[in-house]
Amino acid sequence: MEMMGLVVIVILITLGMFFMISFGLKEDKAEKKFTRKGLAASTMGAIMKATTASDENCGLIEFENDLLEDCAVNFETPDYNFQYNCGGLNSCLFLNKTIYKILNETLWEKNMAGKKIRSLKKHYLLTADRVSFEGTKQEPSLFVITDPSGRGCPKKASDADEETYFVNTGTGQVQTTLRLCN
Amino acid sequence: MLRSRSAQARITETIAVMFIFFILIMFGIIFYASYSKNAAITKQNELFSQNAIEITTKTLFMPELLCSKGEAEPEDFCLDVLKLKHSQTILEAHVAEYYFDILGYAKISVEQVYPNDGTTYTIYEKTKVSDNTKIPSKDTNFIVSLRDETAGQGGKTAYGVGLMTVEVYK
Repeated sequence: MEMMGLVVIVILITLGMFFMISFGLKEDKAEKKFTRKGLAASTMGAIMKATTASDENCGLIEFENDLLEDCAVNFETPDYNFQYNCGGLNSCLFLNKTIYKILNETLWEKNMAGKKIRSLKKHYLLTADRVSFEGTKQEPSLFVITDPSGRGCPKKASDADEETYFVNTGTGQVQTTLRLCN
Repeated sequence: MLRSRSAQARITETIAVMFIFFILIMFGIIFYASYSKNAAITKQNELFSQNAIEITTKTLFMPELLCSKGEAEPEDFCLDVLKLKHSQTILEAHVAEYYFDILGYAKISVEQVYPNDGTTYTIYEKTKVSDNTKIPSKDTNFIVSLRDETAGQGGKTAYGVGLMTVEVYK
Protein backbone atom coordinates (compact mmCIF):
# COMPACT_ATOMS: atom_id res chain seq x y z
CA MET A 1 0.00 0.00 0.00
CA GLU A 2 2.81 2.40 1.00
CA MET A 3 4.65 1.52 -2.19
CA MET A 4 1.63 2.56 -4.23
CA GLY A 5 1.54 5.89 -2.43
CA LEU A 6 5.25 6.37 -3.07
CA VAL A 7 4.85 5.62 -6.78
CA VAL A 8 2.00 8.20 -7.00
CA ILE A 9 4.12 10.84 -5.24
CA VAL A 10 7.13 10.15 -7.49
CA ILE A 11 4.92 10.46 -10.57
CA LEU A 12 3.42 13.74 -9.32
CA ILE A 13 6.83 15.22 -8.48
CA THR A 14 8.22 14.14 -11.87
CA LEU A 15 5.29 15.77 -13.65
CA GLY A 16 5.75 18.95 -11.60
CA MET A 17 9.46 19.11 -12.45
CA PHE A 18 8.74 18.48 -16.11
CA PHE A 19 6.30 21.41 -16.27
CA MET A 20 8.62 23.73 -14.37
CA ILE A 21 11.53 22.91 -16.68
CA SER A 22 9.42 23.37 -19.78
CA PHE A 23 8.20 26.78 -18.55
CA GLY A 24 11.67 27.77 -17.44
CA LEU A 25 13.26 26.99 -20.80
CA LYS A 26 10.61 28.85 -22.80
CA GLU A 27 12.45 31.99 -23.93
CA ASP A 28 10.51 35.13 -24.49
CA LYS A 29 11.45 36.15 -28.01
CA ALA A 30 8.97 39.02 -28.31
CA GLU A 31 11.50 41.70 -27.43
CA LYS A 32 14.10 40.43 -29.93
CA LYS A 33 11.45 40.23 -32.62
CA PHE A 34 10.22 43.76 -31.95
CA THR A 35 13.74 45.18 -32.15
CA ARG A 36 14.62 43.25 -35.32
CA LYS A 37 11.38 44.20 -37.10
CA GLY A 38 11.82 47.85 -36.15
CA LEU A 39 15.46 47.77 -37.18
CA ALA A 40 14.62 46.27 -40.60
CA ALA A 41 11.94 48.91 -41.20
CA SER A 42 14.09 51.84 -40.10
CA THR A 43 17.11 50.60 -42.08
CA MET A 44 15.15 50.25 -45.30
CA GLY A 45 13.46 53.62 -44.76
CA ALA A 46 16.78 55.38 -44.15
CA ILE A 47 18.52 53.78 -47.15
CA MET A 48 15.68 54.48 -49.54
CA LYS A 49 15.37 58.08 -48.41
CA ALA A 50 19.13 58.81 -48.58
CA THR A 51 20.62 61.20 -51.11
CA THR A 52 24.12 61.15 -52.57
CA ALA A 53 26.95 62.87 -50.71
CA SER A 54 28.59 65.96 -52.16
CA ASP A 55 31.94 64.17 -52.63
CA GLU A 56 30.36 61.72 -55.11
CA ASN A 57 30.35 64.55 -57.70
CA CYS A 58 26.92 63.84 -59.13
CA GLY A 59 24.75 66.41 -57.39
CA LEU A 60 22.00 65.61 -54.93
CA ILE A 61 20.46 62.37 -56.22
CA GLU A 62 17.85 60.34 -54.37
CA PHE A 63 18.63 56.64 -53.88
CA GLU A 64 15.02 55.50 -54.20
CA ASN A 65 13.48 57.65 -56.92
CA ASP A 66 16.49 58.46 -59.07
CA LEU A 67 19.27 55.89 -58.73
CA LEU A 68 17.15 52.77 -58.25
CA GLU A 69 14.95 53.67 -61.20
CA ASP A 70 17.98 54.44 -63.38
CA CYS A 71 19.51 51.12 -62.34
CA ALA A 72 16.34 49.16 -63.17
CA VAL A 73 15.75 50.85 -66.53
CA ASN A 74 19.34 50.63 -67.78
CA PHE A 75 20.40 47.38 -66.12
CA GLU A 76 22.61 45.18 -68.37
CA THR A 77 23.18 48.03 -70.83
CA PRO A 78 26.49 49.87 -71.40
CA ASP A 79 27.49 52.52 -68.85
CA TYR A 80 26.84 55.39 -71.26
CA ASN A 81 23.10 54.60 -71.16
CA PHE A 82 22.87 55.34 -67.46
CA GLN A 83 21.55 58.75 -66.52
CA TYR A 84 23.68 59.08 -63.40
CA ASN A 85 27.33 58.49 -62.74
CA CYS A 86 28.27 58.90 -59.09
CA GLY A 87 31.80 58.44 -57.85
CA GLY A 88 32.75 57.08 -61.29
CA LEU A 89 30.20 54.26 -61.09
CA ASN A 90 26.88 53.64 -62.81
CA SER A 91 23.73 53.69 -60.66
CA CYS A 92 23.65 49.92 -60.03
CA LEU A 93 27.31 49.66 -59.01
CA PHE A 94 27.10 52.82 -56.93
CA LEU A 95 24.01 51.58 -55.03
CA ASN A 96 25.61 48.17 -54.52
CA LYS A 97 28.82 49.65 -53.13
CA THR A 98 27.22 52.37 -51.00
CA ILE A 99 24.44 50.25 -49.49
CA TYR A 100 26.97 47.50 -48.70
CA LYS A 101 29.13 50.06 -46.88
CA ILE A 102 26.17 51.48 -44.93
CA LEU A 103 24.86 48.06 -43.91
CA ASN A 104 28.32 46.81 -43.05
CA GLU A 105 29.09 49.76 -40.78
CA THR A 106 25.73 49.74 -39.03
CA LEU A 107 24.44 46.18 -38.83
CA TRP A 108 27.72 44.28 -38.92
CA GLU A 109 30.88 45.88 -37.59
CA LYS A 110 32.76 49.15 -37.76
CA ASN A 111 36.52 49.41 -37.61
CA MET A 112 38.56 52.56 -37.47
CA ALA A 113 42.35 52.58 -37.76
CA GLY A 114 42.38 48.79 -37.28
CA LYS A 115 40.38 49.05 -34.06
CA LYS A 116 36.89 47.60 -33.69
CA ILE A 117 34.58 50.36 -32.49
CA ARG A 118 31.22 48.65 -32.93
CA SER A 119 30.01 45.13 -33.52
CA LEU A 120 26.33 44.27 -33.86
CA LYS A 121 26.88 41.19 -36.06
CA LYS A 122 23.32 41.06 -37.42
CA HIS A 123 23.13 38.80 -40.44
CA TYR A 124 21.40 40.44 -43.37
CA LEU A 125 20.41 39.92 -46.98
CA LEU A 126 19.30 42.76 -49.21
CA THR A 127 17.94 41.99 -52.67
CA ALA A 128 16.70 44.34 -55.37
CA ASP A 129 14.63 42.66 -58.09
CA ARG A 130 12.76 43.87 -61.13
CA VAL A 131 9.11 42.88 -61.20
CA SER A 132 7.22 43.23 -64.48
CA PHE A 133 3.77 44.83 -64.74
CA GLU A 134 2.37 41.29 -64.89
CA GLY A 135 3.94 40.54 -61.52
CA THR A 136 6.73 38.17 -62.62
CA LYS A 137 10.18 38.55 -61.13
CA GLN A 138 12.91 39.09 -63.71
CA GLU A 139 16.31 37.42 -63.40
CA PRO A 140 19.02 38.31 -62.55
CA SER A 141 18.57 40.54 -59.50
CA LEU A 142 19.75 44.15 -59.77
CA PHE A 143 21.97 43.53 -56.77
CA VAL A 144 22.24 41.16 -53.83
CA ILE A 145 24.07 42.28 -50.70
CA THR A 146 24.93 39.93 -47.83
CA ASP A 147 26.83 40.42 -44.59
CA PRO A 148 30.62 39.86 -44.72
CA SER A 149 30.30 36.36 -43.22
CA GLY A 150 28.56 35.33 -46.45
CA ARG A 151 25.78 33.58 -44.53
CA GLY A 152 23.24 36.31 -45.17
CA CYS A 153 19.73 35.61 -44.02
CA PRO A 154 18.17 32.77 -46.02
CA LYS A 155 14.41 32.48 -46.44
CA LYS A 156 14.25 29.33 -44.34
CA ALA A 157 15.75 31.08 -41.29
CA SER A 158 13.16 30.98 -38.51
CA ASP A 159 14.41 34.02 -36.61
CA ALA A 160 14.16 36.45 -39.51
CA ASP A 161 12.23 39.63 -40.19
CA GLU A 162 11.98 41.47 -43.45
CA GLU A 163 10.92 44.79 -44.88
CA THR A 164 10.05 45.35 -48.52
CA TYR A 165 9.89 48.54 -50.57
CA PHE A 166 8.39 48.89 -54.02
CA VAL A 167 9.48 51.58 -56.45
CA ASN A 168 7.64 52.21 -59.72
CA THR A 169 9.82 52.53 -62.80
CA GLY A 170 9.17 52.87 -66.52
CA THR A 171 9.65 49.13 -67.00
CA GLY A 172 7.71 47.82 -64.01
CA GLN A 173 8.56 47.84 -60.34
CA VAL A 174 11.67 47.35 -58.27
CA GLN A 175 11.16 45.20 -55.21
CA THR A 176 13.82 45.79 -52.57
CA THR A 177 13.77 43.48 -49.57
CA LEU A 178 15.95 43.51 -46.48
CA ARG A 179 15.96 40.38 -44.31
CA LEU A 180 17.53 40.46 -40.88
CA CYS A 181 18.50 37.48 -38.72
CA ASN A 182 20.23 37.21 -35.35
CA MET B 1 7.33 -13.80 18.25
CA LEU B 2 6.22 -14.13 14.62
CA ARG B 3 3.71 -11.23 14.98
CA SER B 4 6.37 -9.03 16.58
CA ARG B 5 8.78 -9.63 13.62
CA SER B 6 6.07 -8.85 11.11
CA ALA B 7 5.23 -5.59 12.93
CA GLN B 8 8.94 -4.65 13.04
CA ALA B 9 9.25 -5.22 9.28
CA ARG B 10 6.22 -3.03 8.65
CA ILE B 11 7.61 -0.25 10.84
CA THR B 12 10.96 -0.38 8.98
CA GLU B 13 9.13 -0.31 5.69
CA THR B 14 7.07 2.72 6.76
CA ILE B 15 10.21 4.54 7.94
CA ALA B 16 11.92 3.82 4.62
CA VAL B 17 8.94 5.13 2.68
CA MET B 18 8.77 8.28 4.85
CA PHE B 19 12.52 8.80 4.41
CA ILE B 20 12.29 8.58 0.63
CA PHE B 21 9.22 10.81 0.68
CA PHE B 22 11.03 13.53 2.63
CA ILE B 23 14.10 13.24 0.41
CA LEU B 24 11.88 13.81 -2.61
CA ILE B 25 10.17 16.77 -0.94
CA MET B 26 13.59 18.23 -0.14
CA PHE B 27 14.70 17.86 -3.78
CA GLY B 28 11.51 19.55 -4.88
CA ILE B 29 12.09 22.50 -2.53
CA ILE B 30 15.71 22.92 -3.65
CA PHE B 31 14.71 22.73 -7.28
CA TYR B 32 11.85 25.22 -6.81
CA ALA B 33 14.12 27.66 -4.94
CA SER B 34 16.72 27.67 -7.71
CA TYR B 35 14.00 27.96 -10.36
CA SER B 36 12.39 30.93 -8.55
CA LYS B 37 15.76 32.67 -8.31
CA ASN B 38 16.40 32.25 -12.04
CA ALA B 39 12.86 33.31 -12.87
CA ALA B 40 13.29 36.49 -10.84
CA ILE B 41 16.57 37.31 -12.64
CA THR B 42 14.94 36.63 -16.02
CA LYS B 43 11.99 38.86 -15.14
CA GLN B 44 14.35 41.61 -14.03
CA ASN B 45 16.28 41.40 -17.33
CA GLU B 46 13.02 41.39 -19.24
CA LEU B 47 11.87 44.59 -17.53
CA PHE B 48 15.28 46.13 -18.19
CA SER B 49 15.06 45.28 -21.93
CA GLN B 50 11.51 46.60 -22.03
CA ASN B 51 12.68 49.84 -20.48
CA ALA B 52 15.49 50.12 -23.07
CA ILE B 53 12.99 49.69 -25.91
CA GLU B 54 10.59 52.21 -24.36
CA ILE B 55 13.36 54.83 -24.11
CA THR B 56 14.42 54.13 -27.72
CA THR B 57 10.84 54.55 -28.93
CA LYS B 58 10.38 57.76 -26.94
CA THR B 59 13.60 59.16 -28.43
CA LEU B 60 12.60 58.24 -31.98
CA PHE B 61 9.37 60.20 -31.61
CA MET B 62 10.64 63.19 -29.64
CA PRO B 63 9.39 66.42 -31.25
CA GLU B 64 12.72 67.97 -30.22
CA LEU B 65 14.49 65.70 -32.76
CA LEU B 66 11.91 64.59 -35.34
CA CYS B 67 11.86 65.75 -38.94
CA SER B 68 8.84 68.00 -38.93
CA LYS B 69 7.51 70.44 -41.49
CA GLY B 70 4.96 72.86 -40.12
CA GLU B 71 1.62 71.17 -39.58
CA ALA B 72 2.46 68.19 -41.78
CA GLU B 73 2.87 64.66 -40.40
CA PRO B 74 6.44 64.12 -39.14
CA GLU B 75 8.61 61.72 -41.14
CA ASP B 76 9.12 58.23 -39.71
CA PHE B 77 12.55 57.25 -38.31
CA CYS B 78 13.97 60.62 -39.30
CA LEU B 79 15.95 63.07 -37.19
CA ASP B 80 16.66 66.67 -38.13
CA VAL B 81 20.39 67.47 -38.16
CA LEU B 82 19.76 71.11 -37.27
CA LYS B 83 17.84 70.00 -34.19
CA LEU B 84 20.48 67.39 -33.32
CA LYS B 85 23.23 70.01 -33.32
CA HIS B 86 21.53 71.92 -30.52
CA SER B 87 19.69 69.13 -28.76
CA GLN B 88 22.31 68.36 -26.12
CA THR B 89 22.42 71.96 -24.89
CA ILE B 90 18.64 72.11 -24.65
CA LEU B 91 18.21 68.68 -23.07
CA GLU B 92 21.02 69.28 -20.59
CA ALA B 93 19.47 72.54 -19.45
CA HIS B 94 16.19 70.83 -18.61
CA VAL B 95 17.32 67.41 -17.39
CA ALA B 96 16.23 67.76 -13.78
CA GLU B 97 12.79 69.22 -14.31
CA TYR B 98 11.72 67.35 -17.45
CA TYR B 99 13.94 64.93 -19.41
CA PHE B 100 15.12 62.70 -16.56
CA ASP B 101 11.52 61.65 -15.88
CA ILE B 102 11.18 60.58 -19.53
CA LEU B 103 14.59 59.08 -20.30
CA GLY B 104 16.04 58.12 -16.90
CA TYR B 105 19.62 56.93 -16.65
CA ALA B 106 20.71 56.62 -20.29
CA LYS B 107 23.07 57.81 -22.97
CA ILE B 108 21.61 58.60 -26.38
CA SER B 109 23.84 59.32 -29.33
CA VAL B 110 23.52 59.48 -33.10
CA GLU B 111 26.44 58.73 -35.39
CA GLN B 112 26.35 59.91 -38.99
CA VAL B 113 27.20 56.88 -41.13
CA TYR B 114 26.49 58.27 -44.61
CA PRO B 115 27.84 60.70 -45.73
CA ASN B 116 30.57 59.67 -43.36
CA ASP B 117 32.17 62.73 -41.83
CA GLY B 118 32.81 61.13 -38.45
CA THR B 119 30.18 63.24 -36.67
CA THR B 120 28.57 61.87 -33.54
CA TYR B 121 25.85 63.83 -31.76
CA THR B 122 25.39 63.05 -28.09
CA ILE B 123 21.81 64.02 -27.42
CA TYR B 124 21.42 63.02 -23.79
CA GLU B 125 23.75 61.66 -21.16
CA LYS B 126 22.85 60.84 -17.59
CA THR B 127 25.04 58.11 -16.21
CA LYS B 128 24.83 56.43 -12.84
CA VAL B 129 27.66 57.12 -10.45
CA SER B 130 29.23 54.10 -8.81
CA ASP B 131 32.43 53.41 -6.85
CA ASN B 132 34.73 51.61 -9.28
CA THR B 133 32.02 49.17 -10.33
CA LYS B 134 30.75 49.01 -13.85
CA ILE B 135 27.03 49.70 -14.02
CA PRO B 136 25.35 47.14 -16.29
CA SER B 137 23.86 48.68 -19.38
CA LYS B 138 21.96 47.60 -22.48
CA ASP B 139 22.42 49.03 -25.97
CA THR B 140 19.60 49.33 -28.46
CA ASN B 141 20.43 50.43 -32.00
CA PHE B 142 18.24 51.95 -34.63
CA ILE B 143 19.10 53.22 -38.08
CA VAL B 144 17.58 56.59 -38.84
CA SER B 145 17.42 59.10 -41.66
CA LEU B 146 19.26 62.34 -41.03
CA ARG B 147 17.65 65.30 -42.75
CA ASP B 148 19.99 68.19 -43.40
CA GLU B 149 18.32 71.28 -44.81
CA THR B 150 21.62 73.15 -45.00
CA ALA B 151 23.18 70.57 -47.37
CA GLY B 152 20.30 70.66 -49.86
CA GLN B 153 20.71 71.70 -53.49
CA GLY B 154 18.23 73.05 -56.03
CA GLY B 155 15.30 72.93 -53.65
CA LYS B 156 16.00 69.32 -52.70
CA THR B 157 16.69 68.31 -49.11
CA ALA B 158 19.72 66.16 -48.31
CA TYR B 159 19.17 62.96 -46.38
CA GLY B 160 21.91 60.91 -44.76
CA VAL B 161 21.94 57.71 -42.74
CA GLY B 162 22.68 57.62 -39.04
CA LEU B 163 22.92 55.04 -36.30
CA MET B 164 21.13 55.90 -33.09
CA THR B 165 22.44 54.13 -30.00
CA VAL B 166 20.47 54.17 -26.77
CA GLU B 167 22.45 52.90 -23.81
CA VAL B 168 20.24 52.33 -20.79
CA TYR B 169 21.74 51.82 -17.34
CA LYS B 170 20.30 49.34 -14.86
